[in-house]
Amino acid sequence: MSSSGVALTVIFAIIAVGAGIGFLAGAHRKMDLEQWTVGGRGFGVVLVYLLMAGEVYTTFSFLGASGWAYSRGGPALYIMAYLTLAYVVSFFILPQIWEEGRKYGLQTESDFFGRRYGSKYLAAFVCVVGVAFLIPYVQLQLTGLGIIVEVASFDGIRRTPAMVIAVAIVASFVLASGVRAVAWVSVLKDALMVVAALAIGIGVPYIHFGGIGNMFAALAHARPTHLTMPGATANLGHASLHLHGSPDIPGLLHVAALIRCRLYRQKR
Amino acid sequence: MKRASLRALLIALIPFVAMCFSVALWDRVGPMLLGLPFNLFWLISWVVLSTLCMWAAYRIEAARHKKDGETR
Repeated sequence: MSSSGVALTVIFAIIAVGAGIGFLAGAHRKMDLEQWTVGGRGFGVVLVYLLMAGEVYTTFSFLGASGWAYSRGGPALYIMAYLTLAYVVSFFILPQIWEEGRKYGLQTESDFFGRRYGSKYLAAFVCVVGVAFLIPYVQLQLTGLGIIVEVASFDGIRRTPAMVIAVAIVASFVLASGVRAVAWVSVLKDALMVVAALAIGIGVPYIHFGGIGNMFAALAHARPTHLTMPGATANLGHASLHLHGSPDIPGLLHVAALIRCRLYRQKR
Repeated sequence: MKRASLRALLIALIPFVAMCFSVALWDRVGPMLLGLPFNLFWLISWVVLSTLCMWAAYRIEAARHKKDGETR
């Protein structure tokens, strides 16, 4: 079989398994709004963990981050810092959101803001802002997806059909199964991400340089400044990147919305 | 809902200091450790060490909630 044929087979197999998981996730459950948005608040710790992991790894992890590391070098390291620090902050904020969500039966971010500040106008505003900012975010993700599928299939599937197919599949299983579909598909996605990260992160350096250390040594030799932050403003530059570097705000809002399912429920 | 304790907040500040407000101190290529440039090795270490910090913060908060008779 040609390499394109192998790639297409793998891609279709993953799509079929993913869509299958998505549709099965909500099967045999009475689907009301609470079930659809927050999984009936019945997720276990492991599923919430996998969902949170699945939420932060997007096409940005594969295209944006690696592309940025390639073109700019050192500054791309901020990604490791800001994601870690985001969870440090979340430790203090999310349990309170979760508690309030459980107590008052909140299901979305706008429910939360409406309840917390006693204003239905604020709730509507949060809703509009949330949707408005999700549109370019989804657009960006789909563009990334189209590029990845086009490259990975050796041009077997073009960008536009890939995006149309993806939207159709994702929209239908999310419509059918709600957040359960997202969570269970995250399990598959996390597993594949780990395989891909190991294959690329370890495989490529060994094949092309004979080891990770050799690769960095060669890189440091060829482009000495590429591996560090630029210039004397390094400290401030890095700090301000943390403050502005929040491409995952919608992702974090999602995590916030989902975590109230039952992060600490196991202890009750 | 009560505020987090000062001790837990101070512990949570450690990852911020280590990863965000001290860049000039560790942003260099050498010495290479485990084949990684020093700054990359530093950040990877702090991904793990931050987890330990947050575990400590969690222990402190959990003990406080237990003492106050909260079920969480």
